[in-house]
Amino acid sequence: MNREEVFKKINDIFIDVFDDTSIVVGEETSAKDIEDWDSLTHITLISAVEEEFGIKFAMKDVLGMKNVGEMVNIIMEDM
Amino acid sequence: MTFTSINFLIFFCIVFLVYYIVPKKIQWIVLLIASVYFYIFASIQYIFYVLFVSLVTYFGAIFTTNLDNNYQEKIEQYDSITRDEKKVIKKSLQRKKKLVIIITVILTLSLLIIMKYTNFIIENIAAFHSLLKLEYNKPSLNFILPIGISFYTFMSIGYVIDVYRGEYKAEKNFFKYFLFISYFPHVMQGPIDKYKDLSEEFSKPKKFNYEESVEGLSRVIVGLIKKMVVADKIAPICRMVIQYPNDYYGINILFFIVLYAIELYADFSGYMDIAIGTSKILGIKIAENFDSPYFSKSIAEYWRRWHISLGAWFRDYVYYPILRSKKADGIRKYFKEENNKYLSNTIPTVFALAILWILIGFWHGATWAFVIYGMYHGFILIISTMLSPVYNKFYKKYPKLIKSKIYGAFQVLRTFLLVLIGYFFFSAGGLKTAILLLTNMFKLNNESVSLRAVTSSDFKISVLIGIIILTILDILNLKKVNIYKALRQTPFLIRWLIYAVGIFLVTMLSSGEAQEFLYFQF
Repeated sequence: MNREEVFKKINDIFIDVFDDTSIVVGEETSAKDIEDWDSLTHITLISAVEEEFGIKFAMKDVLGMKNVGEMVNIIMEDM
Repeated sequence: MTFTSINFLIFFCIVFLVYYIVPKKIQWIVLLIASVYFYIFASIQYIFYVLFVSLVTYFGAIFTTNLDNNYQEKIEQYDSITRDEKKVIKKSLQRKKKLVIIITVILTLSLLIIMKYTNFIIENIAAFHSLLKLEYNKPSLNFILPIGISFYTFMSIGYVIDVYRGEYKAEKNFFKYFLFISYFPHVMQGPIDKYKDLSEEFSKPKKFNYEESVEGLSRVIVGLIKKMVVADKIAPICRMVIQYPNDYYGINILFFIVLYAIELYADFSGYMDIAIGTSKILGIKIAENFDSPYFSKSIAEYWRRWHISLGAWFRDYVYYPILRSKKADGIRKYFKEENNKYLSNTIPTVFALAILWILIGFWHGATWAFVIYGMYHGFILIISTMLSPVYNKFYKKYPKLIKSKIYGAFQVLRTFLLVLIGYFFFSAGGLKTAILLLTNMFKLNNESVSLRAVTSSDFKISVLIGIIILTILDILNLKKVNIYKALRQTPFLIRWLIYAVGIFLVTMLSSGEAQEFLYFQF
């Protein structure tokens, strides 16, 4: 799976989790850009991504990822 | 030696001079000596507690890093190693690391639990016995809470867990680590800093920076105004109501709780301004703890703006681990298989929030009132999590209304009122008083003592100044205006005029009797 495909899948997860079809995520998209992305929804999002890609993020990644680009980097390393 | 005392002023002037005179390499040693002196001056008998907590977590982290290093060496020894073999070695490493971390955290927490909760446990056992009309000889133990224990215990646990998670390696030099724990601006009342953020600050050589120091000093003055002109002035009035709750009814209780909200905020954020300001003068940036909390539009937002470092700590070391646990995963999976997306997301969150908020309540103090305070906030958050689909529908239906200023103002007011209700449990120091005040607020009684009548005009001026200053500062902060930077850039004369007004306020309007900072009790 290439980076673009990973992004496409992640975009679908975001749309599903935040229930908002207008979301388009990019490398720099962070919690600041999506209103409902807070500590309460973060884990829901992480769990959905983990399930989709069959991976498990380390806690330091869960806390440390600053934007979607970093999330994709970790996913691609783990796959 | 509290931040508002002359002793602290003298202490800080000496630290400042020595810090910038000595060779840059040993600046951190000056801070260490100053911090140990500061703590000993406050309570000599309790320095051993700080030392104990620091030693336990220091060695815990060292063991953890050693295990990590051993693992790396082992892996490198093999020329070719299969993925499965690697997995087996890693699993055994994880087990050992987990054991080390559990022992370290239990040892560290044990001191806090003994000092903070023994009295509470004994009281409750006694109450339980008397309820069942049984004999019980209450042991006469009386623990006094060492200053800052709730804060430095959390900082050190955060450190050791970060090392366990592989965020960074353990600090080899005990004294450098001990400086992080005992650093005088944060040891007594927070912010609950992260080791990662401060270790770099301590190790960088610091050259005196005039501009930064002026910014720091302005912040200290703002903190002093908040504490001495606002909080200390309001404190006796609030204490009076708490002491004689039967004397107040209706609007007077509403006045009281609004005053308490101002006092608590001015006190705690004033302390933070002084802590952050003094640290800034030394060129060291510590964490921010407030971000215009009373302008929050929801309780969740309030907790992202109020006591930020405590919320972040609980999020990183309690809330997320619960949500990432196997149990939570199991619940999520179960409901997903049942095809219920809503429950699959909501149930683990509700479960985690319930545990989290009981713990946050207990963190604030060993009384049922604090536990209720925590549960109250947890309850609101749980309800809003459960109702989020309803909210989302509403938001989608009325997007214009949601974005309007009027609706925003309504949200802010609603959140503030909810916060005020919580403060009854926070302030009263007892469940009975809290409930009494809360119920009497809705009763009309002509015999109520009138707060307006018993307070002096001097007091009213202080409150008014307090509200104006806090509001202006918070609105500017919301608009992302850095007032201290802006002040630095204003012409010299105007700037010094503002300082003079500030110092005048502190000296002329400050309360005669200095009050302890409220968060010292935690």
